[in-house]
Amino acid sequence: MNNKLIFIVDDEPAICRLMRILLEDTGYDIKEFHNGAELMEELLHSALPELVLLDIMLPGMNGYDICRFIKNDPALKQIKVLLFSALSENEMKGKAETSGADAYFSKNIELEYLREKIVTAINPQL
Amino acid sequence: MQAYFPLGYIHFITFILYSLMAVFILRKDTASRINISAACMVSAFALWSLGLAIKHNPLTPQSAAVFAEHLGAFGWTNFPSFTLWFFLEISSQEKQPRRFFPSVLLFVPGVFFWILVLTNLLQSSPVYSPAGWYSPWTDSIFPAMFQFYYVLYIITALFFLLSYSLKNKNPVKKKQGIIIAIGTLFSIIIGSLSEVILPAILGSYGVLSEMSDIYIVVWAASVAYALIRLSVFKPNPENMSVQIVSQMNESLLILDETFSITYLNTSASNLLGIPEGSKENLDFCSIFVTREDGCRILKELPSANLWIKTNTAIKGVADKKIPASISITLIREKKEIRGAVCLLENTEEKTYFETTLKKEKELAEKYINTAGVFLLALDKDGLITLINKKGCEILGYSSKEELLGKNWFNDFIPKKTASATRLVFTKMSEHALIDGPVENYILQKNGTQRLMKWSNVVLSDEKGEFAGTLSSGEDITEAREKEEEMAKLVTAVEQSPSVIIISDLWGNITYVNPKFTEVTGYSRDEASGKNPRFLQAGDADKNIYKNLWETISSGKQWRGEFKNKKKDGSVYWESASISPIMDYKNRIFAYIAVKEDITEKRKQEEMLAQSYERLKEVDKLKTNFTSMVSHELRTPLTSIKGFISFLLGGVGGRLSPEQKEFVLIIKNNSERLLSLINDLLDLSKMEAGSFSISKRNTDIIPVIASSIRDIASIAEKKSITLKVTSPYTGYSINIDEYRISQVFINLLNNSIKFSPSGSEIEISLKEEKKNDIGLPSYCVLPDTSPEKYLLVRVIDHGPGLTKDNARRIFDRFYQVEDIHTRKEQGTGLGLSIVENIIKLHDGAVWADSEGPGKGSVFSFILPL
Repeated sequence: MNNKLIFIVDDEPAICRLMRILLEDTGYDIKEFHNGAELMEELLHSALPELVLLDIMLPGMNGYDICRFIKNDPALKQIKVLLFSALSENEMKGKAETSGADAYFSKNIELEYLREKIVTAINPQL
Repeated sequence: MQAYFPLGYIHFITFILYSLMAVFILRKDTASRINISAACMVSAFALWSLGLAIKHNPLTPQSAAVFAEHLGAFGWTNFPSFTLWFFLEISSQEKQPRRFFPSVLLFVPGVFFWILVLTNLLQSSPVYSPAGWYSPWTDSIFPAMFQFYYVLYIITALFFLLSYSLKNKNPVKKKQGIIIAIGTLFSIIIGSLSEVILPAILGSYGVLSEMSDIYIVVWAASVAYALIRLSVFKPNPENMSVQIVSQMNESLLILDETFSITYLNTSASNLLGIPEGSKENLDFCSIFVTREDGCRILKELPSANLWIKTNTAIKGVADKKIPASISITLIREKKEIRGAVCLLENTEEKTYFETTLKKEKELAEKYINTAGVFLLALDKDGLITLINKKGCEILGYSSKEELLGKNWFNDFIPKKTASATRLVFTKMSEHALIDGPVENYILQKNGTQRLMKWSNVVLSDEKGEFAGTLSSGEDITEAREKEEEMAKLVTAVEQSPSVIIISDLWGNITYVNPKFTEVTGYSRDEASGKNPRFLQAGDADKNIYKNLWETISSGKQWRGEFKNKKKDGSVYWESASISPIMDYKNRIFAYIAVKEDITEKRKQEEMLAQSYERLKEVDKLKTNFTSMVSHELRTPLTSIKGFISFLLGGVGGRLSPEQKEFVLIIKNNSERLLSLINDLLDLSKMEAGSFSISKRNTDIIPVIASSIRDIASIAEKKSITLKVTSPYTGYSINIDEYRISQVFINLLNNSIKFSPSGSEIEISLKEEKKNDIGLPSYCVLPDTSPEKYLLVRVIDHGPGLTKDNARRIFDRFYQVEDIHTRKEQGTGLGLSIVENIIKLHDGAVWADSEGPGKGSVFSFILPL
């Protein structure tokens, strides 16, 4: 289960790149997806990641729905899902909690703080 | 027997006499049964005489003699029957007239003996002699039987006549009866002598006996005299005074010179209960109930010829008291009082009638007085002769005595109209016809005028001349006022600028005003009787009428709008107010609808609604647009900020000091842009109403601390000290943590922006009672505000605010502009967001300043 794999889902290539740079030194392989469909395809046919960093405003399925899907599938539900969005945390709060996400945060927070949150999610014992 | 006496001629003369008598008797009175029976009797004698006149002639042939024998025999066989019939008629004249049948029976023996004559059984056939023909009796029993019948009938007849005549008090009748009886007896005696006794003595049947019918002439003559001369059977004041007095209805007494009663008639006898024929002289005074009454009359009587007293009382049968009036006339002879005639009148009935009349009069008076109308009679000069209670009431007087005799036109008609009113009266006095009732004003005792409506009749005296007027009047003052008021109401309804419809209980139109016609195009006649529903436009809501009827039939008012169609087919809208009209018993008897054409208004409203809808849509679009834009703006900013961080962190290689400075400028501006976007997003949500807070019990102290932390870097740049003064180390309150933190950040941000470098900003917390807060008047707390609040103040030493600025500073995009320099950048959205958040917490926020240059205090309160 520990595939040392993180999936980043965002329709903005710049954001994907930003996250990839931010998480480079964590020792995890990082894969990028630009919509829900691409992610689903990967989740059904390839190795499962430890964590999915999921944007909310995506073309097609939105982040909340994807998160709910993952958390409702017995085969997938151990994957940690972090919702992140251009919305403020306060705006995300209600829907994020009901979708079953492990954490949620705004993209507008300081990058260091963001990295810390992700790392905490991967290694809760730290 | 050998004598040649011309007997036939004598018989012929008697025949003529009898015939004349019969005619005269009948002529006297053809209808009287007495006269008829008398005439029949005399006619029988005439027949007898005629028969003998023919027989007693020597020249008569035998056959004629036989005929004459039979003809005459009818007379002499039947005359006893006629006699008996006649006498019986006389004696029964005061009783019920005899029936025809018994009278006929009387003739049975007469006819029987006539038949014997015809068959020669009573007499043999005529025998010739030189004096003529004669018929001897037969030797049979029949002559004796005939004589018996003859004697029996005559004696019976005489008995009836005599007993009647002797008993009769009527002297005329008595005289008549006696004359007839004497005549009868004379004839019988002579007849018997000549027919029976003389032949017996002389032993022969001679001339004398053949003359018997001549003797009967005396009888017939007496009858004729009595009937013709004395007129027994026709009342005649000359000869019937006694009878009249005796039988008259009035009670009559005759007093002698000592005033003792010597005679009383039948009526008096019946009245007083004294037998009519009472012989003893009665004391006049004794007939009075009070003896003195009679005695006084007698005492006063000699001085007067006629004396009348009413109102006395006499003793009737069995001493019954009878009210009576009495009048006495003295009978004088050569100034000597010979007696008196006294008439008594039983006034019992008269009294009864008088009493009844009096009662009727009282009743009539009562009617007049209880009549609801003013009854007034004036004489020919216009003086009041009759006025009823109602009349007195209307005029304001307590009794009619005050009014009777007064001049109606002078005293009770206002001066202004007196002449006009008098003119009507004058016209009536000339018997001119006055059409219908007359209206005029009258004057009350207190001087007020009333309007009266009169119906008048002219009163005439016996000669048909004008005697006055009788009027019945009605006070129509109030009615007229009401009428006028009603007329005003009617005019108001008629001329109303609103459509007015009145319908009956079943909703059928009974009235529409002209405005209705103007609006709908339907005339009153066209609308009347129809249900107002006929106006309904085809696509109108049918349920309206159901609801309408349910409302108004339960007595409530209904308001609503109808979509109706005019006569020309065009559609219009009307607003209607429909109410039931109740009668005095609170029962609905009609409905009234007041309607207004609101087509124009409605059009405007529809347009307004449409524009409102469009605006709402635009607003929604705007909101969506804002939120979409905010999101789309934030996303690239996120990347910009991220890569700036990498650049500054040396991810892309080491930066020269100049490069680093530029990147920091980029970072600073992108952060400003982000906060602007966030504020815009919040505001757009607030406008759209989708901005919500979720409160929970939170310790506010850490919230303040974290806010300060967030803002610390900005404060540091200006070396501004942030100080919190709180009596509490922890203070739990029901708030949305995130939003209150936003409030602190915005307020502090604002204060830092305007505070001079190195100054201090103080945040103070304090619990306050509502009334001690000193809330500005423009801050309004919700109705259900609690007593205690947490008061938070952010105090700075910035440029301060004018009063106007202090008030407007929370308006969106409002900024206190310094004309010279706009030192600080900002959107002007922060304080507006603060106000919204505080309001959502049922609190209030405001700014105070002691004036420009003296710093500002931003305060907000949160309910505890």
